[in-house]
Amino acid sequence: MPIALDDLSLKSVTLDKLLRLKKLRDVHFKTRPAVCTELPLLMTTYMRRMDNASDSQEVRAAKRLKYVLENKKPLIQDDDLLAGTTTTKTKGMVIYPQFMGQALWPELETLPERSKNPYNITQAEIDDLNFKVFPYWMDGTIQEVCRKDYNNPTCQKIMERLVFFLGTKAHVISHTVPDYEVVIEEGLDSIIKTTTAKESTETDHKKKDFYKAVRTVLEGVIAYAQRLSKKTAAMAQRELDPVRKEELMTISKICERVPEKKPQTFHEALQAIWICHVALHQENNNIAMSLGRLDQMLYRLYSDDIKAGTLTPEKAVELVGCFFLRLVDHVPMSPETGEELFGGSGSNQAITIGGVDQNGKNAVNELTYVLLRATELLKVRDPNVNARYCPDENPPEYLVRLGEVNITTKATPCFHNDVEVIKTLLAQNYTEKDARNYSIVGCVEPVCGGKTFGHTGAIMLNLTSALEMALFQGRHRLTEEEQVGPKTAPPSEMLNFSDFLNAFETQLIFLIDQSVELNNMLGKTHLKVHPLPLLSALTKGTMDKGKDVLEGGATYNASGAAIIGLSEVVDSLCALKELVFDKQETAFAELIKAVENDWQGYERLHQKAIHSENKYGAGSREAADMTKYLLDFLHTEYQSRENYRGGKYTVGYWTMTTHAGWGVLTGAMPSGRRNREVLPSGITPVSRQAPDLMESLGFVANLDAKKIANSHALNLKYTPARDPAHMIPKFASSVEAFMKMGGLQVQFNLIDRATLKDAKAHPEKYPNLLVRVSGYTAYFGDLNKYMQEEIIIRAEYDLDTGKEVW
Amino acid sequence: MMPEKFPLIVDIGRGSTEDGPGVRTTVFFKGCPLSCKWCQNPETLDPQVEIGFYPKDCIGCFDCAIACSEDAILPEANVRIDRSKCARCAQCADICPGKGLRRIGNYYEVEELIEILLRDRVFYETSDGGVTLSGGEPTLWPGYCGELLRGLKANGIHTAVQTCGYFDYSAFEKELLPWIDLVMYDIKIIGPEEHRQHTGRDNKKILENFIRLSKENIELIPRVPLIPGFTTSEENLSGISNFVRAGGIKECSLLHYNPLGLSKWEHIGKAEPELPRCLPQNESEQSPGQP
Amino acid sequence: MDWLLYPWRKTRHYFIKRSLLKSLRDEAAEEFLKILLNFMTFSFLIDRRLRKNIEGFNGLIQFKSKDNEIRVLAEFKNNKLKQKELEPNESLKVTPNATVIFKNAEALMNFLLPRGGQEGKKNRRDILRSLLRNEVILDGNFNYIYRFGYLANHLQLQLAKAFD
Repeated sequence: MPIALDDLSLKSVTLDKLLRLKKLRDVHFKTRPAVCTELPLLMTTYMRRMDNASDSQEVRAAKRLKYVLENKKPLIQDDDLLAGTTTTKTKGMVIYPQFMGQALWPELETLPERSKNPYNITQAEIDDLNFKVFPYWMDGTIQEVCRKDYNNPTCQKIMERLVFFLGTKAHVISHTVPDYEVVIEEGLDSIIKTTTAKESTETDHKKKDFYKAVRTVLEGVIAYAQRLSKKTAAMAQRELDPVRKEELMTISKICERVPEKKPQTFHEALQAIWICHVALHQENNNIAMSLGRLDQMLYRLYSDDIKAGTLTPEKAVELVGCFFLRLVDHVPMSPETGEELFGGSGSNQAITIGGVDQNGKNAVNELTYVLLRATELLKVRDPNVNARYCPDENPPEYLVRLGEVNITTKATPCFHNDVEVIKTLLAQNYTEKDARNYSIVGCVEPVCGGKTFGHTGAIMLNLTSALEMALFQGRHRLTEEEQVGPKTAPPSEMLNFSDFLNAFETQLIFLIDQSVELNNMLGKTHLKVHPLPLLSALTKGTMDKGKDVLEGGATYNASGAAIIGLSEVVDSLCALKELVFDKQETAFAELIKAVENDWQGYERLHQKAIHSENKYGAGSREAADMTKYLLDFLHTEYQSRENYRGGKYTVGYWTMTTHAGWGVLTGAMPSGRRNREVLPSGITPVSRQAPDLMESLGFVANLDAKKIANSHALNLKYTPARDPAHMIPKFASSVEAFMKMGGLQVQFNLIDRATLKDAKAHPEKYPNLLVRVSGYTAYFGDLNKYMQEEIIIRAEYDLDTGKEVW
Repeated sequence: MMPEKFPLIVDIGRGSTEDGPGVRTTVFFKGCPLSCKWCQNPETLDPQVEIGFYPKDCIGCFDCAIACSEDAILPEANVRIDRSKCARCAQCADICPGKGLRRIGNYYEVEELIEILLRDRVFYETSDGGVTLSGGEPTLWPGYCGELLRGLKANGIHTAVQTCGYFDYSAFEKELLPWIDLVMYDIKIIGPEEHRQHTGRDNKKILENFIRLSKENIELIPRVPLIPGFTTSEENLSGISNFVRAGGIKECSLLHYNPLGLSKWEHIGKAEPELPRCLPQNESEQSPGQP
Repeated sequence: MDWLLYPWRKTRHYFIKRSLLKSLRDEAAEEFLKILLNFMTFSFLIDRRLRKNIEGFNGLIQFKSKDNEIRVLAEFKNNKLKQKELEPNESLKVTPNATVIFKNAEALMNFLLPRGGQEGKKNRRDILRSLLRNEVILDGNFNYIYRFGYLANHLQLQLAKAFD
């Protein structure tokens, strides 16, 4: 890939030169998000007046979406180069009435008064939702249809206690990367041609309906683009400023062509993707809908334009910047204490850059650096930028540049090791080309963009609750006397550690079974209530199979589980084994009493637990073996279960913000943990238990990546150096070493504890401070206090000494 | 008690970028022939095991009193060990649940230590780093260190030694020199009398060894700790500069004083040496300078 | 003939409002649930605009304490709210759309009145938080609870305005 940039950092491209971006960015940060009722009103109106119940579900869904797209307001923000908006608001909260929009019902009138993340809403909008929208969908949400169809199943009831596991399908299924490559390389009309041909020859009426549905929704997308084209043309007519007039006319022409036709310029390609993205968000929840390898997909057009002299790197940064600022025009719906579990999350749309191409060769190109410059200049939480890095294949200056951007933004991009990720995907039966072409969904999860339907965030399992239930015979301290899991042996009857492990495995298998059963029920319900013709149209495999992605239409099928609390559970199992069985420092019953009393009155035992040498990430053989055992167990158990569309379950270790929320609900543990302390994030060691940076990097790097098919988030903080230039090589070499030892994923906050503490105390001094949570980036001020506290106490290492800083 | 012919190790510092090029793991040996008043690591002076007491971590369980066979445990808040009675068996530290009492100094077999040091190999390779022997004074154990360094070289690891220069040259030359890539050599005070006064030893041997070493085919970096009131006089610095230049060495590192060492004395039950007051703290960083 | 009852209802409403406020203030809320439902019942009867919130809403919500000592049914039907106290072991003819099981009166109060009584914003609670803390367990269709949550919140806001 020839790179002609004189300066890979593109230092001469600044916001002061790109005033448009500066302005759009200011608008973004100054605008308080507002609830948008356009989508739920259009859907409800359609369902009340036009829906034809004799159509198949697939066709009903398609017609409904087409109606939405045909009636959605065609809008463009002032000064923007890309037309189309997710909502009618500058920054809109999207309400999906078929998912869990009703969760907002109780607080409609108090939304603007929320202490964290307030939202604007007008009285008319409250009335629309309260009188028209929500009542209509009361029995029609996926959550409630599932409950009814399966007769209020136990698995759903357990999930709704919220402390054991979360099944997210009733809320969002679209943790995926749509096939935007086809949009760029062919245009939607080529899919329409295919689907129309199939529709006319297909004899199976179900498949025929599927093809009809695909055609219908694509027509809807094109209709939306045409309306944008007309709207911008009309605006151009009225525009007095000749420069803007010209821009609007260009945009109008672009929207007339794309996404229907194959884009011919870089600008057209970005516009085509954006229109499809907007359309997809009318069908799918706006959480973690990811974009794939932008620097690969768009490179051909970028380089054609550069050669033709119609584009410069600076202009490309501007266009990419406009695109990034479009991606933040919407926020996900979250009830006030949804903040507790998922607080401060943006829409978490991942993009992927760098890495190798389908032949395993370096794929870093000029556009990679353009995307990095836009990331660095804008410092917005979306898109979540994921850098693929292949040691020995990608050039060292690329790694240096990634380090530089991390230091400037303090939190992004995160790093994925091509060697290990590709190995992992091959083990999941991907072809070599598809594995090499992986991109990231949501937080950290690798899939083959456009070919995998792998709802990677389907299940979030609280591993500490399995331990809790093993300690308390199937009960949990939070849910008190209720017998949630199977009644396993009491501690007094456990003669050795393997007796305890048996109980632990029994409880864990119970939770795995429940989480899988619920996910499968919700998946089937989703297909029944809300099929996804548009997402299916933009996923490879569906056309050949004639099936919706929810039915297994995609080339690759999987569902993802994320495990919360791994290092805590390792430390606890090790401490329990050591204190009760190996060294017999205490009777098991005493240890249980100690954790029930939050270690009050058990100071000696508490100290022994804390100072045990068998800690995750601290060079202990015992802890390494225990971790391996857990990874193997979880991987084997989940992989042996099939989802509702013939795919397997994969296991990952990333936590978003659930570790903070669940930490508050979790009691003291044998590790020495006290009541209510936040749990460690992702696959990260417990703070203060892994004092050596190299040891903890090595510990995580040595885990078998093949058992972590849904990837992990290793969250570290490095103390920023006074002189960034001094820090970059050290930073880069730590990442390089981690990857060469077999590390899968790592991400950083380059900010010290004192600054974070100050930001917590004086949020006004740090507006829009970007931090990495566990997977995604967020603004520190948006996070709830537990999450802020977790980031503050999260292990911080000094690259000069290699030691954890306290 | 461990006899002195076995070296004890105070700490294995992994991931430092301050003890030589790249990312390094530094082995801190216990025992030093000098006794500089400003010593930052007083726990590395005595070659024998010591017991440190850290009152903050003490939970007051007095398990130590039960473990001690010499009746050396005191009930005071800030002093736990009667050093005159203590036999340094470290039983108290081994049993202490909160690590308020800690054993300072552990013995490692050479192979065991090499295994630990090789764990960070990838970090050395990606950063052009390696292993540094420091202390205390590693050259006190030429046989042990020689074996250690040879083992590291056999694995292709870059090796460095930090020394105060007070060693027997022939043993050093025979056992250590063949396996060393870099020597960081402290020259503290040029005047013999002041040197004796503040470090407890004459500097003749140190300066002679330096001259001999400067003729060897290895990288040699002289280092001057900047201790206000001791080493920072213009006379001393220019004297060192002239001496070093005479040995044909052009570059010299200046080490900033870290007053952190001061509080460490009381943990091991030793009186803190008197130092001039108002020592500067956190001066701006300086890169290796020209003397 | 309904209008004939209006003055009586209005007066009744006033007294119930007063006792509701008192029970909120005292935080000794054994009677709180009954008073709240009473208050809602009368509010719907006297306030036409408010009544619009439950037009066409048919639903049965059961509230019960964990020890089964308190059991109350709230029935929305014919644009009215009716409440009925149940004996601890009384069986139900119709399955409620949703059941709210609360640990104690305080938990219920936090759950139903997210603005935390007279303390206003200080103790902001919401349904999800109560669930997270295991103070309240929901069984059945969550959307009925959300709707009820809206009504309770709405009434509390009006109450706050009236006494500001």
